[in-house]
Amino acid sequence: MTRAEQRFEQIEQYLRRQMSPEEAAAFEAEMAADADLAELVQQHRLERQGLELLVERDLLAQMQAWDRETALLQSVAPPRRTGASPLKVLFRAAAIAAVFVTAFFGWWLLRDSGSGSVPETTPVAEAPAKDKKKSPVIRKPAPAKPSAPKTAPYKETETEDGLAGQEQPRQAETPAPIEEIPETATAVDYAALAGEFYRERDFIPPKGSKGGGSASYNQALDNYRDGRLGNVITQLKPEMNQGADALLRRELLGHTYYKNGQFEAAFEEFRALAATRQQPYAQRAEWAMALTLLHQMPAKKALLDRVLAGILADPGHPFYSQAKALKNRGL
Amino acid sequence: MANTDWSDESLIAGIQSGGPAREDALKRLYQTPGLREAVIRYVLDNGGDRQDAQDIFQEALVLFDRNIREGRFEGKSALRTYFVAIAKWRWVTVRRQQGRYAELSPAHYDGEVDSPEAETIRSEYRELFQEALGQIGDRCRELLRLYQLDYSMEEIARTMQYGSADVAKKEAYRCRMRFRELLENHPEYAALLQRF
Repeated sequence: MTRAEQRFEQIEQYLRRQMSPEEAAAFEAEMAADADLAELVQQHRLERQGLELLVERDLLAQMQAWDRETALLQSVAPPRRTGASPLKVLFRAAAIAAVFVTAFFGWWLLRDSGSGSVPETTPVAEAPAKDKKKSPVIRKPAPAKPSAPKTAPYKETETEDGLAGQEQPRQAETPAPIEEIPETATAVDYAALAGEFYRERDFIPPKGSKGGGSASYNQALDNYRDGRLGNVITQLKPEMNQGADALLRRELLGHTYYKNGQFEAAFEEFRALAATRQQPYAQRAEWAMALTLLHQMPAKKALLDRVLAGILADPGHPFYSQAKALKNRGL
Repeated sequence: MANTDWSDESLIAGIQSGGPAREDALKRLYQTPGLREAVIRYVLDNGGDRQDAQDIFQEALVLFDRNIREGRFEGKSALRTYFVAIAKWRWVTVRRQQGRYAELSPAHYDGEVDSPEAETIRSEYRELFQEALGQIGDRCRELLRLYQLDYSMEEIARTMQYGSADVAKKEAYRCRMRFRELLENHPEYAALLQRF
């Protein structure tokens, strides 16, 4: 072990309170006599403050996971029993019995009047979804018969975002029958899901801090915080690529669009930011891209999958845990 | 196996011992009935909204975890009271930064939490730290996180599959020096060091 390493360890022991009172007192005396050592200890202390961000980041991701776990447990918990009156119980029992009797009578009539064999399951045409936020369904091609026309293969494309992508299969002239399998029993509200994962403070400087940009950026930031989103866009857009705080500006513009519900415009800003590869902006932008695409589900599923895959390929990515948790939500 | 007897002492011991015991203890505290509600009520009663309250609750847990690990809790109050005090202090700090409060007195919480100055420095220079942390590589980040949580070198070696505790120690030193170098190359770092 070099002398520098020994010194490093000694300082760490002191800061971690791993020294005995006598050792600590001796070390403090040494610091009092040696300004360089005192400065080095301060430097260690500051670095340890910075490293706390790693712990903080991990703990915040854990808290989100605990919240989701709690929400899940609450959603699967049996409904609370309420004291129903005997009259209600009797009414319910009568209703159930009536349903059974009707069903049996119907079956009996059909059996007697049917001339051919009745298929075990009757295909029922699914009504088109009225609500975009309804549960996504996996369209699973039925096993193709030898004579059946094949579904067009997935085509690898280079999309505008620079990521290799997959087009949706082109519709064959006579498509194979499909069966629809609901992915989950409950409807997925993508906007709510995005709301659950989107934490403004992951991207925007906290209230009260200066934000670290130019005066005009700080002014735009104030407008953003006060909800004057139109002003932010007007302020930031003309000088987007100018100034030392260009990345900050683009990030703020992206989140302004996001907050304003202009998800396509927001995505463009985040995509441009991610392409700069300048950290931590690019990594934050990748996560923001994912959340923006979540709002555009299910139309942007393929792109969202690729963005999430990019984050998940890097376990050191600051949003790795969140991306993993999102992926585990059935996306 | 998770600890089912969660006295203040066992919570502190769990957090200080790190690893799964720390996670269990923090999770237990996070889910303690009434704790979150107490923080939410305080924030709502003092000019915040529900989102502010949720954020403050989470930030309080981060600060609480750090203070317990650093041995800054002196046992002058129940742990729950201490937690709520941190949350209140945090909210007062946030409000003061917004120019809404002037009556903050750090001494009010017995100096068991960070000084407002340290907190301000921390928040102002987050970007700087994050930038450096973003460049040290995945393994260094994970190693330094474990190191920061006081994992022993044996545990780090086992978790990260280094050949021995000595190798882990060498790596920790190398990563830390890399982190330092990145910080020192930043133009704002010298000023930060002066202020700290």
